[in-house]
Amino acid sequence: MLNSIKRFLLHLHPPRVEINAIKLNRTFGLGGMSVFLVSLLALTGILLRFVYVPDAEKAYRSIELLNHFNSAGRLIRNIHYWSATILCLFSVLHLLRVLFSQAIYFERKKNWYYGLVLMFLVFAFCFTGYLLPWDQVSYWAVTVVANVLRYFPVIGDALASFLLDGRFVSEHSLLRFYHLHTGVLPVLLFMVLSIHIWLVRKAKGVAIPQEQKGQLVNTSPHLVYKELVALLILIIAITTLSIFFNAPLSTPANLDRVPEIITAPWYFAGMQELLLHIHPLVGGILLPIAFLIFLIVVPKMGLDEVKVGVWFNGSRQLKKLYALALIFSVLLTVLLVVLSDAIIKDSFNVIWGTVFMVSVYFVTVSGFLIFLLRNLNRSMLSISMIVFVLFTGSYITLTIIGLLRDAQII
Amino acid sequence: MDFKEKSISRKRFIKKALLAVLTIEVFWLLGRFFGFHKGKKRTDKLFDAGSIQSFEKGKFYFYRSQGFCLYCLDDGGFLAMDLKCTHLGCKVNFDRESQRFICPCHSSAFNAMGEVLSSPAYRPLDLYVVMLEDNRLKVDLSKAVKRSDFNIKQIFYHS
Repeated sequence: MLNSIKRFLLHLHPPRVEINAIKLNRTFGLGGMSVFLVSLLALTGILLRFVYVPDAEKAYRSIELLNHFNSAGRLIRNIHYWSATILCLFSVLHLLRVLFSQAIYFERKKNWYYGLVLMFLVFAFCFTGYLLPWDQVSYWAVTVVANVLRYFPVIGDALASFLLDGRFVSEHSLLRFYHLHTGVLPVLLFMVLSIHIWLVRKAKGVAIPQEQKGQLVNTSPHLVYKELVALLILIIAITTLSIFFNAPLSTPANLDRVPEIITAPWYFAGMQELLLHIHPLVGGILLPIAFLIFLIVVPKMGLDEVKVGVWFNGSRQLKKLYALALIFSVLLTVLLVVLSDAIIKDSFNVIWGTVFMVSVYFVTVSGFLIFLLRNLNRSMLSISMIVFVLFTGSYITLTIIGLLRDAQII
Repeated sequence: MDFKEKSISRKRFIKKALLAVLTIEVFWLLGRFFGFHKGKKRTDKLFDAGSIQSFEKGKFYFYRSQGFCLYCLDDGGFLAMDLKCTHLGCKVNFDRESQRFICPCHSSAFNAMGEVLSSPAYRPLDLYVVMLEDNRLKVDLSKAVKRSDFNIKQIFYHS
């Protein structure tokens, strides 16, 4: 029995691996650590399920009881919270890593798509889990997100009502979210994650440049040893965080009154900031869909120039361009936010504000791209990467501005 | 041979039958999804706000659990407004000093008549129909009336 478990775990890896594939700066272990976080979340989630009651009357109380009366209850909830937070961060970093080390092309394209599905599942987990404590913050945050869905053309209302099981967030929504969070999504995640890992092996492991191939070492101990060290560090970090910082829990949900200050979780802070300035149909639906389409197209662009496994395609000029694009998008975003806060918000209707800001953004960005393309060879690969840097840079800037606003620094 | 042909046609029959059932099922689901079937119809909710003499001019009366507020204007008119922000559905708070409704979620602001003072909201607060029955003010909560701007007809005057 034990032997077969050990054999199964070892079969997740090939018996021998490339020495350059297991260097730290190749993957930073982000994918592997994410898998570990998922299992930690499953374990703590199963434990939390023993005490949590998915009922509007009892949900909040059950978490209070968990915090005060169950042995290590608070610690387990904190570990669940911190693992989820770090998982969100690591999944995004993992996405950036495979994109910029050009590990999404050819036979890895399919796995990039499975990765996008996993990303969606991770955020769906975060969103559904967010409602479960049934406190003020979670109740109103879910109300806001559900109302963004309502702006979806034609099917918006039906979609939101389907998700919430009603016209507003109620005890029916709580049951629905609970079942999604602890029943439906885990099954889906398990299936897609298994395929994701299997496809890595089918692509013969981590993507490395052609010239670095050929030096093989035994997986055990070389890779296994590194993995164990990474896991230990992760466990220590999460335990420390969980001991010193509690998962948030505000006052019980009050359906009649919103607290004076309400903030989105940090991974939605950028979205909240965006919705302050532009119309929900654009900010909450059209732009995310456009970005998703872009992510679907990316692994098909500029295939003739791809150097699989080479960070930033290797050229110094391109690296400089990425940096330039990042600085440009940060400055442009800050400028637009300042402009919106100072003038547009109080004197214009949000529809005109949106038209103004979105057109300014896209005209400026296109101008920037045209300027760049005049000064370098027109390659699809560099265009796609620079567009990605521009969008991501803007969103990260919005997140930082949103967090600063939440902390009432600005 | 005969047997084989028969078995294929049976297979096809079953396939087609299943497909037909599935199609009906999908259409039924779509129908429900888009709300073509009307489920429980909400009964008319006529909320009794109180005797008309009990309202002071120039004051706001809040019915938080019903989610609306009643503004008794200086000239004796009444305006019943939904407290749900028209942007993304948070409940607005009322700032008595500046006589504004302020949404805590994305800081939209509305004036006493519910008009937008500050975006991201762009529609005024929704209205409820007010009526007088036996000298008591009744508010029809069954339907929130959407409006694009404020006009004097929205105010309810008795007599």
